Amino acid sequence: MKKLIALGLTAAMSLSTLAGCASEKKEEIGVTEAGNTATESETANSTGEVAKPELTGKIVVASNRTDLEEDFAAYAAKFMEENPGTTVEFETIKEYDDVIPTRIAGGEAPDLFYVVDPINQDTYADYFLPIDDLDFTADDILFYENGRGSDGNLYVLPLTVSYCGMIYNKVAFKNAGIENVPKTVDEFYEDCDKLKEAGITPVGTAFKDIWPIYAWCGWGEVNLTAGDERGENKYAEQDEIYDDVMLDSMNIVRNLYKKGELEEDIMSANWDQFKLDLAQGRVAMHYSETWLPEQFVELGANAEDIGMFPFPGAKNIKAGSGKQWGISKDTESPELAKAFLSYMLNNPVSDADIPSNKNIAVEDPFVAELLSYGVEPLSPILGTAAFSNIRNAIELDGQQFFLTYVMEEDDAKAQQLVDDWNAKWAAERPNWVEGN
Amino acid sequence: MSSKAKDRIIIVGFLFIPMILLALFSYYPLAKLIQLSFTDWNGMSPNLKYIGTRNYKDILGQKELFSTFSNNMAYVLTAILQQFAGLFLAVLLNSNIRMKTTFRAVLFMPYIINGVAVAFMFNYMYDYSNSPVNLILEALGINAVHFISTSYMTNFALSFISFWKYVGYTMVIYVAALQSIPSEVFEAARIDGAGFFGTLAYITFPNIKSMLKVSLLLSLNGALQVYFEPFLITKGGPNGRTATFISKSLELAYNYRKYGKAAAMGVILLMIIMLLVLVQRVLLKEDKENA
Repeated sequence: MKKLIALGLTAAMSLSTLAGCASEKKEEIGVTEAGNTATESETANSTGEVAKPELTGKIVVASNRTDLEEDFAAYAAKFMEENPGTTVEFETIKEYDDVIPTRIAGGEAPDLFYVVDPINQDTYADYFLPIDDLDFTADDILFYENGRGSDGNLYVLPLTVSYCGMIYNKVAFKNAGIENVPKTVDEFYEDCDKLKEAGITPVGTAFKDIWPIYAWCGWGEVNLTAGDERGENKYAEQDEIYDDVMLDSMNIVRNLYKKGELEEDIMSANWDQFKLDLAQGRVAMHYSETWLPEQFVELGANAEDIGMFPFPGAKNIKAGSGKQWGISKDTESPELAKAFLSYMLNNPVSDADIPSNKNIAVEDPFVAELLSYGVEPLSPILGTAAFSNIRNAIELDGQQFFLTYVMEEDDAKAQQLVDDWNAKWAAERPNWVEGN
Repeated sequence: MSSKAKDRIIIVGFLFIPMILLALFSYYPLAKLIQLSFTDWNGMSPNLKYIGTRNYKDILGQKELFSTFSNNMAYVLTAILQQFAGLFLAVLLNSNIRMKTTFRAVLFMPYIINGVAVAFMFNYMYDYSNSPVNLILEALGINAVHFISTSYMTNFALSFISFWKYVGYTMVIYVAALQSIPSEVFEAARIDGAGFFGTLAYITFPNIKSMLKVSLLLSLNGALQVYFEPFLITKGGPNGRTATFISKSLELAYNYRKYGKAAAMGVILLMIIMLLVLVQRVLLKEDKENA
């Protein structure tokens, strides 16, 4: 008898689980159907510019900033208060670049999300809704034109922008007797020597985590800084992925490594430790972007002690767009999603961000200092998707290779590694570029 | 309902639920893996494009993928060492020493700690400037060690993590094997005047030989499939010097969105492991015939 009861219970339990799934799904569909019809009729009723369509429905906005979870909730609450009848939910995802593609593959994309690999302008239309009808133009939003897909429609827009430059600890500079920031690469090397003598690590890399060194080896960052009309990524049209411009930048780090002017053991130099060291003046410099300095202040550094200057010898300061946000083409509340994207473009979520909206005044002290040295910012012209396609095809991880290149002690072997990648690049290129 | 019918329902229930779970979580993913290995899926697109055996040809043509097995060798060597260490501990803790249950529990503990947590712990231990190990070494006047470097030894530093984690598990397997040997045999040997090493060589070893082989195979299998140490600590770098076959396939999937090719690598590893199992089968069969 006991066995029978147990079996009955098991069966009932598994049945109820299954039933639970089914009913949940039904409910969901019911709600969204209602939401949809409401939105459609509302839109149909609205005529002209004066009558604002009343928004309804629910959207989910996916961000990678787990640190802003509370701010997001307050931000969404404010929007919902201004637009009764709407539901906006922020979802913060730590492993964003892995989770979002999986969700998209499963047909469960969030309503608002930003571009992740492998989405590029060739495939924007497969994942995003065109947003040409938002009330913005290239005069309002920086990098507006970069959001167009290969078909000419606008799909994505950045909420923020950032500028690339050297972040430095002013106290560390003072302790090493450096009065002015270096303007040329030679001055930079001299200052590094002075810092080393003073017992301060001249340049921090956080190399163990690999990504923090992106500015030294990113194709956009390096080429814009080198200047000479290199605003457009032309690598897909040339046989060398590692040309002199790239190698000049990479060799600076290689030289610093040889002279012992990076962290003591770069294979165990990690991001968290590095941030603490720069905040406390044990590390003097780091090459990154304007989104970073605020984090040193959060770690206890005085805002006045942290500054930014253009990369030594830079012809331009690379201005880059932040994450590019778009609306899922499967969203059930497109009007609400568009309204919320516009809202985010007009009202920055975090004060620490530099908004892409030109109509909002920027009061960031780090940006102010960086731009005060007379080097003009320049933004990259988006190249074709061929560049990233070739890179993926030959399985080149530029940052991983950079680490390898820096640590290879033998110059001839290092050159051989560069030649190998260039050969692979040249061989793969014709498969992706027409007319070559 | 007759008791026979009840029994039948129970038997069917107990048979089908595990079967469904097995099919759903083992065989379906396996079939999917094989299917994906013939596509160029990027992890996102809703449609699969079949490209024949191109992934397999690509992999077989890429020497650097198979050279990762030389890194796996460090784990294989450590796995063999682990057998000796596990056996040594088992023999020790099977004798009449005090607090042997406590010792066993302590030694088994690392096995039940989450692997990722273990990797993070060793990440800290292997840090050059902040490692407590280096702190102690320096206090003793010995030079600090670069645990993670460009040399091949880094692989041993990483494989030591598995050693530390799994030696307790190996020990438990051997303790179980040792306890299955009837105590009369040992008594008889003692009466006949056999010493510690004599007992070990003529009684303990022959009796646990088959268990030894099973445990060795399990460890070798683990050594070939290892990934989380390099994946979490060195990311396979620098220049792939610590990459293993699986960490390389994960890199393909997540960095370059080549899920199809990564799946093909999975299938190839599966075949290599099946080959190993076959070899073990042959060896064990031989053993039975001898007995």
